[in-house]
Amino acid sequence: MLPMAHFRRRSVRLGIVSALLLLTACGNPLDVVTTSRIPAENIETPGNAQLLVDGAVADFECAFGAYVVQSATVGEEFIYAQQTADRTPADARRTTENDSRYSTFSCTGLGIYVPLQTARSSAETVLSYLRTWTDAEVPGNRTNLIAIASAYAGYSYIMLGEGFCTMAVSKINPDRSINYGGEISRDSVFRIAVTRFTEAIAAAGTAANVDITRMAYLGRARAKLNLRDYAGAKADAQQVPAGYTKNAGFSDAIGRRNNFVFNDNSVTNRASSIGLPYRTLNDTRVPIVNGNFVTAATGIAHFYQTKYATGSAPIPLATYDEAQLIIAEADIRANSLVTALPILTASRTRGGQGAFTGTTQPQYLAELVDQRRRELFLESHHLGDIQRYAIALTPATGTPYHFGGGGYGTQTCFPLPAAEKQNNPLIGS
Amino acid sequence: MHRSPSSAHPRAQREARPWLCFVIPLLVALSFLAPVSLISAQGNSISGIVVGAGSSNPIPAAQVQVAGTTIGTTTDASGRFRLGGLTGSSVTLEIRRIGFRPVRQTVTVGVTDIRIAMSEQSVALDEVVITGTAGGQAKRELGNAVTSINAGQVSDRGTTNTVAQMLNARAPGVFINPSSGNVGTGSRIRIRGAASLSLSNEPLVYVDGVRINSQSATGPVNQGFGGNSMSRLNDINPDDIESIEVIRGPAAATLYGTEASGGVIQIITKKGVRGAPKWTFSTRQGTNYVADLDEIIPVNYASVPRRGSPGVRDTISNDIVQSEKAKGREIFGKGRIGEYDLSTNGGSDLFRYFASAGIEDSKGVDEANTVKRKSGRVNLSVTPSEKLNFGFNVGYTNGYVSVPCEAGCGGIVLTSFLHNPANDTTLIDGSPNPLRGFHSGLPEAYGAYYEFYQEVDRFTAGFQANQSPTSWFKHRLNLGVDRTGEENSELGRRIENLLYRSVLGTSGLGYRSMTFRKINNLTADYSGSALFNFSPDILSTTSFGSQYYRNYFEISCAYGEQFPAAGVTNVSSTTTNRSTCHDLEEDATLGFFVQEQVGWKNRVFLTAALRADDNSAFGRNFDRVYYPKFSASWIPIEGRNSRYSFIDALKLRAAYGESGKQPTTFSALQTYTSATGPTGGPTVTPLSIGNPDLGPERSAEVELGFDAGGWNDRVGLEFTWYNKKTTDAILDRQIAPSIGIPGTQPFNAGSVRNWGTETMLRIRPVVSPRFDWETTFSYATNDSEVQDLGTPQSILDLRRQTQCPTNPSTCVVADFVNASSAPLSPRHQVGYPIGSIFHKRIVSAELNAAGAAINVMCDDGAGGSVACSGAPFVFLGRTIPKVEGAWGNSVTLFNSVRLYGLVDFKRGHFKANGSDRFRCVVLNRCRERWYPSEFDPKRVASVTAGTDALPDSYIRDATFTRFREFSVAYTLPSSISSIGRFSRATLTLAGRNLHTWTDYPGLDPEASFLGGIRGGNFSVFEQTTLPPLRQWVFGVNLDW
Repeated sequence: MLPMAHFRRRSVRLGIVSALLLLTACGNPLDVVTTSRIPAENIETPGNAQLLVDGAVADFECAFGAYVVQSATVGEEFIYAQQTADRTPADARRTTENDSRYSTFSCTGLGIYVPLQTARSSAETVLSYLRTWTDAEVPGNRTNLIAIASAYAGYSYIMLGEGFCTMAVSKINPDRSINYGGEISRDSVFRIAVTRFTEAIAAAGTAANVDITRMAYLGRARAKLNLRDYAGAKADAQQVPAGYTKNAGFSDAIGRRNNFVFNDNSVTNRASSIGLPYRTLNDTRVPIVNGNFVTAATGIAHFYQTKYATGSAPIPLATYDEAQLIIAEADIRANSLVTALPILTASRTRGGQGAFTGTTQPQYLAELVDQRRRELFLESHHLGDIQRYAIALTPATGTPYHFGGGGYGTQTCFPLPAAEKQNNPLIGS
Repeated sequence: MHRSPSSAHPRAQREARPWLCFVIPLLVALSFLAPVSLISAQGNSISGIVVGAGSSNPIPAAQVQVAGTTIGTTTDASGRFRLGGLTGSSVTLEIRRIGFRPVRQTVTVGVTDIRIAMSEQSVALDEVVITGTAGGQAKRELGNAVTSINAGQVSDRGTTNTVAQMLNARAPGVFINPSSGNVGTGSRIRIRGAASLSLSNEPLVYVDGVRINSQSATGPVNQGFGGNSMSRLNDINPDDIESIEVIRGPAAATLYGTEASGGVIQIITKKGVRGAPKWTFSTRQGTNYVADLDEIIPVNYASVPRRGSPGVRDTISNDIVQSEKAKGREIFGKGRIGEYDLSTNGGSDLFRYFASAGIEDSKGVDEANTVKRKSGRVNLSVTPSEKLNFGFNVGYTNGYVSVPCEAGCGGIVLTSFLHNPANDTTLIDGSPNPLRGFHSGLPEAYGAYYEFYQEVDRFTAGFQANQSPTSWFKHRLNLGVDRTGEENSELGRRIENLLYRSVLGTSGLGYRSMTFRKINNLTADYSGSALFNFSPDILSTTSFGSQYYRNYFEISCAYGEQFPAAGVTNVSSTTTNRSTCHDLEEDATLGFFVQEQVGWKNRVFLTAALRADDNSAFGRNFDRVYYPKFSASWIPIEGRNSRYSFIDALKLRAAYGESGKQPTTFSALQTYTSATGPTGGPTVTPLSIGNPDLGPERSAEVELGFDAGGWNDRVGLEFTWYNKKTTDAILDRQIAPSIGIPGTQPFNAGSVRNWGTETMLRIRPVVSPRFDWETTFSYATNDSEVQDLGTPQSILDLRRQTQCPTNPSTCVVADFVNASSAPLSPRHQVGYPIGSIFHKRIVSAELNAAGAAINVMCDDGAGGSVACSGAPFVFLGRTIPKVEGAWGNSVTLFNSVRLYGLVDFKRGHFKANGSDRFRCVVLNRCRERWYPSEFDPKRVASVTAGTDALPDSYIRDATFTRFREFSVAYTLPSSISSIGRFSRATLTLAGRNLHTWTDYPGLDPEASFLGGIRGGNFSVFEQTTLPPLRQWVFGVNLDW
């Protein structure tokens, strides 16, 4: 037997040699392939700036498509025609904070809260990186990427502000720590949107990106309209020239990029039917066809839109016509009916309507509201308009809901989801 | 050539495989190596027989070693041995065998009729078991219980077909839960209950030191609901196994580190022994069938309009079993068991080998259920010197298992159990109803339409190097790989038969789902042990080691629907809803341990150890995990003691240890996934938030017990009490969506306690050469309590979450989410056993004159009752048995006839009787719906309340006792066996699942979904699942 000290020396020596052999031969033995997952720390680099901005845009477009459908459902544009139980609360205007469809579903499942927050966060994340990265680090035009990310972040805020009664905005930091945000009002959301659009306008101007400049001006105008800053809204809307259109792009080749409006309502897609106020407008801007089909389970007659004829059809996000209607509203609010009239007249002409005969400010405002619902049909605006203009709902509150459970509710905005309240330490349930 | 739809898959018909061309010549070649080596050995020889003291039964597989040399062998099945190359006039033999007292006997060289008697040992203190240290440890040194199963003995009885069946009822605390009675399907294994709330509770499995894939629920989609799961453990040929060791909990498994908290199963395969080549051929031929079919297929009821009086409906009933018999048909056929095994072993001092080849060719009671499995194994050992030994172990399996449609997709059990009397009436034109009374498709329709199979290619190889460079130091290197390739296919053929099409609807146009999985496990394990004598009485053993494990998993799939024409079956020919998938995951663990053990007078052993693990799945803020271990073993009595003369040995033991469970691969990482960008180009989108602080679950266990033997080793008693607490159990929590990342976040928070006892009593009431009787009784209890769920709420519902865009094959399945909509899913609730069933419980009800349930009152959860509409969910039952045990008897008559019987039982657990739910509640076919006044009003209230509204009458206690195994074996006299030049010939008749005593009203108290959307960690749901089959086999075992 050997003395203990000798044994210890040899054991230690052996252990060291073994460890060194292992380390030198294998590198880091705990490195594993993550080919199906992309670690954030690997992708959030200056070299991937364009990729991340594209990702933010794609996130927004998917969320936007879902928002158009859900806002149309809780608004008047759609009637849900099938039996999937978790889609009926929005249709009946009785969504509760515990309903999962609107709150935690993905955009392909027509969720809106998580997808819009994801779109907002994707844009904000890359934006925060772009502000700190240098031009030398970022391939391409860093300022242009800031403009794009800011503009799409701004539009995410617009949808969150118009669709939800209150909001929360949190942030995940590069060190993966989280800054939670408390519950804020819709106006606060629109003010953040204004800030983002302002940054976008500045950056797009520097980068000479006219398209994003106009998109950001119109986005800021929409935000200011929500903030009742009509003069500011008009000033921004006037920066949008005739013919301008900014679309959200879609493709029927990839599920996540489908036009969900088409998927939900078209000749063969019968999840939703067209809402009663839109079925007989006889307006080219609201192209509706009677499908002559009744969904057996619910008794809902199938009317379908042809504005989006395929799953690849783009949905307008910002248009000259919208800008003109914002200008008209600002004029009406300022009681400058004369300057508003040509805009309303042009709008009516586009829809094949005759001359406008109103004379008073309320008549002008009512006409504006009507033109907005026609001009901006299924483009994400009507739910916000219902709130801003206090539009009387159709079907009226209390009307028996076709799927049972009582009558139509009074809801005109989605509640902050329980998933947020229960897991955000600054809110609490 | 056109193939009939019901014929077996072409793969199944390939009888001759290239591998056979490799294995069989290898077996022959190896058998020639040993004689060459032996011939070269010079010297004299001895031979003899090793028998049991008292019984005189031959003892096979005993190690016979010449003391102080490497010369040794093991006894054959007749207990005989022969040793050559001896010098001198006498040698001292050391004979060892698990379960017997070691014998040391000096014999004269040249003698050929040596007779060595070994006494059975009620407490095998010197049995060496695998513990993670180099060379293993004697049981006397361990502070914890380790169960050793003599697999060769179990295999010889002919009652088991799989490794899981070998484990069942032979190791207290090990719970085996089969998925189905179809041949080729597997079982779930739980050791000492379930400790993880969300991760797998399966034990780790090693084969000859190589960690292997032992997934219990694989197969072609499990038919949606999760029936017919196949276990990777079934890939191992039971005839290749020498022994199985079960290390039950963290107290014993600390050195195995992360992943070992569910216990460890060590499978040790047979090795070559020094001597001339010995061959063994065995075959098992038999049949299996559904027992008591009349009892499990009920009489069903329905109403039909009275002919000529359309406003009047008549209640009718039918007994489909009898009506089919009357038509000359049997609902189920008889299956066939066919197994063939050939092995050889032998060798010299330098080189030893064991090689085997096995074929399993069995059929179940459904034509669509077959197993065709071929396996081969070569274990080589090279001993260049007394100080150095190398081992090479290679196992290969090619298996094809086809299973019938079951549960969610239909199948014979479903269509017959749910049979519809309205489908057995005469049609208006006077012709018989072509559906013959079955619920949906005709039994033969399913075979014609569906074909589900899994084909597996598996290769497991290991290399071991053992060296003892000095008298005080030994170390071991173990390298191994386990590679599994699965092809899972689900085919629905296009059906032109209009009757079948009417049942199958548009799905009768066909579909094909192919899923390919590659699972690779890599093991690198080094350990060393150094001995140091502080004094003659005090021995120190210092052990250290490092283990590295790497697991790789890759899946790819293809799916499509609607074939343009019959006979076309490939995915490329489908015309709609095509989809593909591809994913891969990898994780790695690197761990180190150091252990110090001090022994005093070979009677007291104190052990302390520490293991450190790092794992690729840990969060980046979680550095590494340390698991401590302490144990003590004290042997106050060994050998005859004057004060307690009836006690032969007594060992007291205590252990504390910890081990863990790694998070799911990648769950700690914040990740993005690929997405299509705004112009159709590639981009990324956030996928998961991860958790940089995520670490492993930790299980800490205290274990106390004793092993005692007495009355001349005729009585052995082993008792263990354990208390295991899992902390930092991983749960998923919803994150605030305003963070902007979808999904949930894993976090360490939950806490679960498991506690129980394990008792094993072995008695040999009669020991004599003419009549030897051994009886064994095992009894284990387990209870558990969820103590913390880490969230404000105290309830988490379980659900198999699936994300299946168009195709079940591409589902991403999570075992656990914080949501519930699956029917009758278990839940975790603080203060109750893990994974229990909660629902409304009816406490009283009445029937009105019309037979409708009225005044239905439910448990209000506070000792009173309340109207059921507002009643809370209350605890209905646990899903893991509270008690399990077995009683086995082995009788040997005249040294040649062996009788064996095993009865096992499980008590105190509940199952969701989905068969009853579907038949009574959904389809209204049970008698209760038509003649309610004959039944308990509570039962009527339950089945008429609507699906899952008041389900307590079909959530039932699944307590059962089963006559599991019986065998009678006759060893032919040597005068007869020698005619065929066999050294031993044995004939065996064995039965399995011979009778069941249970009040459980479902199809079977055991079988339930393990995979699919209704399976999972705690699933107890069955729906028209085929019960375990009764089986009779005749076996022949020949040695030469």
